[in-house]
Amino acid sequence: VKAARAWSATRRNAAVMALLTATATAIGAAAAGGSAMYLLGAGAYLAIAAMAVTYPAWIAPQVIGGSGLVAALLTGPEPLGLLVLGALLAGVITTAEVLAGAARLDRPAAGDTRLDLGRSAGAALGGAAVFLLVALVARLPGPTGLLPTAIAAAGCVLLALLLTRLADSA
Amino acid sequence: VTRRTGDPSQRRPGGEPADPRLPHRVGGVWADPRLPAYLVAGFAGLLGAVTLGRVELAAIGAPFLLLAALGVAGRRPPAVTGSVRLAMERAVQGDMVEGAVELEWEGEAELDVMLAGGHGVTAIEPTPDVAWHLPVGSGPVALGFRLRTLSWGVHDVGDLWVRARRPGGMLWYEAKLAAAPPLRVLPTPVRLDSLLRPKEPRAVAGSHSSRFRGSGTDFAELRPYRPGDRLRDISWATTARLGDPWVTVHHSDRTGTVLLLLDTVFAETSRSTEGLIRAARAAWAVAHVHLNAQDRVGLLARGRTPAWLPPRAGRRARWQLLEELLAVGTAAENPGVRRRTATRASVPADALVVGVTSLQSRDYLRTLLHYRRTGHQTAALIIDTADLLEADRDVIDTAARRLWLAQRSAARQELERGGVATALVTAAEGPAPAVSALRRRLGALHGARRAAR
Repeated sequence: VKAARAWSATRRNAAVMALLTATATAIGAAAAGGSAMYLLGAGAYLAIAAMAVTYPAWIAPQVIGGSGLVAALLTGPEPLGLLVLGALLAGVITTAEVLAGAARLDRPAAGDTRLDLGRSAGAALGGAAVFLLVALVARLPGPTGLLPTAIAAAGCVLLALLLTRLADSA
Repeated sequence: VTRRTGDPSQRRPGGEPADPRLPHRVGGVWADPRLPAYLVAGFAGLLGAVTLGRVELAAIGAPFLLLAALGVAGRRPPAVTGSVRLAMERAVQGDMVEGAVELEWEGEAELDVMLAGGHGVTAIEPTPDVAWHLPVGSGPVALGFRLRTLSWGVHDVGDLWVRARRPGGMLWYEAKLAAAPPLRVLPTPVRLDSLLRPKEPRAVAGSHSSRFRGSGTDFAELRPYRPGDRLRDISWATTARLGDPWVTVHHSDRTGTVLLLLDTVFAETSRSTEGLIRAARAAWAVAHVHLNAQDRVGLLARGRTPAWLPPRAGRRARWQLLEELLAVGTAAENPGVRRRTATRASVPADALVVGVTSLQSRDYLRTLLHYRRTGHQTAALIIDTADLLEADRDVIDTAARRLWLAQRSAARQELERGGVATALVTAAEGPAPAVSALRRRLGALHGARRAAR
């Protein structure tokens, strides 16, 4: 079914938007890190994002690389402010969402080529909000490691439930 | 060569056999590339938080897990069912063919639909591909399309592929739902004329007299007068010589019946068309001459009843011949149909049965031998398709080719042993030499049988 097709204008715009977002995220991360390591990491992230424009399978490395970059900034010797980190994380999510939208536009049918930017923006804002919320909660005084353990356990239970539901309905 | 195989045991709930062209649903539920990425990033963050004792890493993992959960929960893609319908099953080259895709699914979903893999046709609407993107909505829907036939032959319009996704979901359902029914495309009149123009009118296969006698002009025999014979049939010279009244008996003007038993088991696009052309030329070389000789010529390709060609060897007869060839090609692709139509037809007692075959089907071989055993004069024109095979790439291909040729040779010998005269129609020589050779063989066999009696 797959065949080389000309890119529609919407898909081209989406690709440019994803690259711009990835570039802004990379520049932000490099500037915030302020060292050669961060600069290198930001460059690699940008290269991976550029690959993901053409090959959607590279969206996974882009997300993992981007979140790794943010994690490095978060746990570095001079931790950044939560708002900056939230913005960087929102950039990573926006890039992934727009890239996925562009990949969906690689379809043989002409006609409806709208890109659901509202959903991408919602995902980015929601992701940043959850990040800020959990980060703030994590800073509350309490036994070290208790909160992330609780969140991890909840996440695992949630995922198990989802997979069970999928297996039942398949 | 069968293009597709199906599981004949598949039955619809109503008990009618499933269409063997769409036996296997290909596809399933697939994940958006974001889903594994979000899950890995989310769990890596949580794992890092636990193992490194850095609480803040959980904050990075949490949004990704949330997005993954939102993309999956309650958004299982719908299972779509659908079919493809063509307004006509046969057309002339260059005709426009209309059809429709019918789809049904539950709930709200966004769909990409495509008819892919067709050949011999080009899309008029939608264009450039027969594909649709359906925004979020619910089924059922019917999508019309128009195609133009490019070349003649049996064409696949394509397979119906669908990809469905719930709004905002990270899982999609992709499957090949159905294959479009085959489209039989006949050549244009000009192409038909050039395709089946007999090159050598001398080619006559077994130009034979009918066993039936009648009011024709060809002498059959003399016999004593019986009450009821017409006075005009009395042979006065014989009567005067022998002293008793004798009458002259003539053959009927319609000298005989020829039944062309068509068997085309060719496949694969351009090669299949070339194979069909060869079979059509060979069949027409026989039919043309017999039609001109006032013989009754029938085509037997499917079912139990021969399709009789119109008396004159005109365009209509040629079209009919090609259509029967295309139909039997379709039947060969479709094992279910093949099985149903394998029942042997009733053949007139005086018929000369001429098989046009590539000798790839054992059933067909048995049918020819059956007609011979039941007393019909039987012959076979074997269409050589060896040159249509792809070039050998390795020793396995070479061995397969030799095996195939050996099988064909064995089948031909089996026919000869069974009293069926055979002749090979090669691409280089065309049907004329083979038909002439067949005529000689039939004459020799006929003479030998008469002498034996």
